Amino acid sequence: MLDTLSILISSALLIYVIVRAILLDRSRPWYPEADEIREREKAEAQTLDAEG
Amino acid sequence: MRSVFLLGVFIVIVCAGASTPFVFGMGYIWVDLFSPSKVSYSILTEIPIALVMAAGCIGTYLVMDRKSPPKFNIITFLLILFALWITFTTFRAALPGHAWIKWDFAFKAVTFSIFLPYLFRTRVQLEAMLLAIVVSLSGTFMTFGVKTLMTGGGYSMNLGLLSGNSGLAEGSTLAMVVACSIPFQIYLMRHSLIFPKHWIVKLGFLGFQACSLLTILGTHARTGLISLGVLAMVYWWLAANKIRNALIVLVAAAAALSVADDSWLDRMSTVTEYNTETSALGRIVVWKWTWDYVQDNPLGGGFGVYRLSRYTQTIINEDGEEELYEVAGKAFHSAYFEVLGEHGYLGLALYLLIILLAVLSLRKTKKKTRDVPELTWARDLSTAVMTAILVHMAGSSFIGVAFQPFIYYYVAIAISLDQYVRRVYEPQKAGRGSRKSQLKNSRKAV
Repeated sequence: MLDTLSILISSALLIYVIVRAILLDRSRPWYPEADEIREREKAEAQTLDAEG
Repeated sequence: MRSVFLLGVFIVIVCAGASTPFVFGMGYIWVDLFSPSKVSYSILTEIPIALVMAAGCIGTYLVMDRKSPPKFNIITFLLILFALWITFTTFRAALPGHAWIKWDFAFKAVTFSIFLPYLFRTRVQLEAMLLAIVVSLSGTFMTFGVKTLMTGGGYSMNLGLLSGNSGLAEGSTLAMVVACSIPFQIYLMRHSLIFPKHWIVKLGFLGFQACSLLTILGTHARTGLISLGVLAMVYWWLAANKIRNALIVLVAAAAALSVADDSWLDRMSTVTEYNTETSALGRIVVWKWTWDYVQDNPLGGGFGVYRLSRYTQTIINEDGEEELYEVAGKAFHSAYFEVLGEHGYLGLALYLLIILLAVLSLRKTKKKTRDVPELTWARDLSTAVMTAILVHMAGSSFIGVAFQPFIYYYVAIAISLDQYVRRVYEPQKAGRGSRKSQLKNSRKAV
């Protein structure tokens, strides 16, 4: 009974992970940090320029 | 009923993987770590699921998604070289019948790790790979952990889903692998994108960690104690808040000792009694045999050469008298002596170099992402994988798991993570230096 429950939980989790991973991966850019870093550095540079 | 659940998972993987190659990669990991054909009573026992997953990975990747392949790197080159070398030594094996049987799964473990970075390229895909590892293991450690709580566990007791004395059915191997998965569980608890941020999810991961610790204790494996000890030390050493982490480790140790029974404590106390405890002594004896063997056979004896081992050692028996202890055909009980004995000095050098370069790659990734808030997850994942590798290196000193897939998964994650961070910075390389110096000059002017 415990073994079957364990199998059920891990199987359900794996299916959930697969479905969520596919949907999430398709909805996001592949390397979003590249743009985020660029935007942050741009903003920092503008702030420093404004202060200067 | 279990056969139906597992068939359901298989169908989902095949259907989803047909449009998304990394799902077949997850499926392959699931087959490796969960062994559904052994756990199932019917249906899946008749289907070559590992072959389906492997063919699905390669086929769908080649046909559908060759986007952003990893740059060819030194670790990949060494893995290819290692795969070729273990094939060469198998042709020269002292026991060819046994050697080719082991070559079959060893070669697949090494070569699949070369292919994994081609499948898992984005943050979500990397997380999916980690979750495939943790969730596949959870089938075993959930049931093992609960049974340990009820019965106290015991050495060589098959309390998990698998029976027998090999792979994850073997207590020491299970204890080590589960210990290696704990850093991944902690990382996922903090940074998961796939699971929503919710207290139930956090509770679930904490439950996983509790079951993992109970499993390690329940195996009564000394390798488990050593793996846990190294895990605690590395986790504490790499942590930012050392005092808080030291307290967490002490509380966990106290909780573990309160659950442990006398038989566990008795077994752990034999860790240092190598002179009289025949299991530990047998390891030392076969290691001595291996060292002597490679003096005459520097290229190794091929897979399974331990079967030729014959060695005698003087021990102190229970009455305090000296007596001769003989071993014959004893397994290596160490990944390092396993590689040395089977594939010689070059094999061992390649194996160690692959692991060392993976650790150095993770250190480089960690350093690169240290002060980058957008890549905090990458920094923490580097720490988690490095911890898993170090725990594996310590634990595998006492069990022959050099060609089980675990260490190769961690190496593949190290490569994928390095490639990810490289791709994040690559488009900015041309302009990045000038922006940096602009910032620097602006600060100087102020």
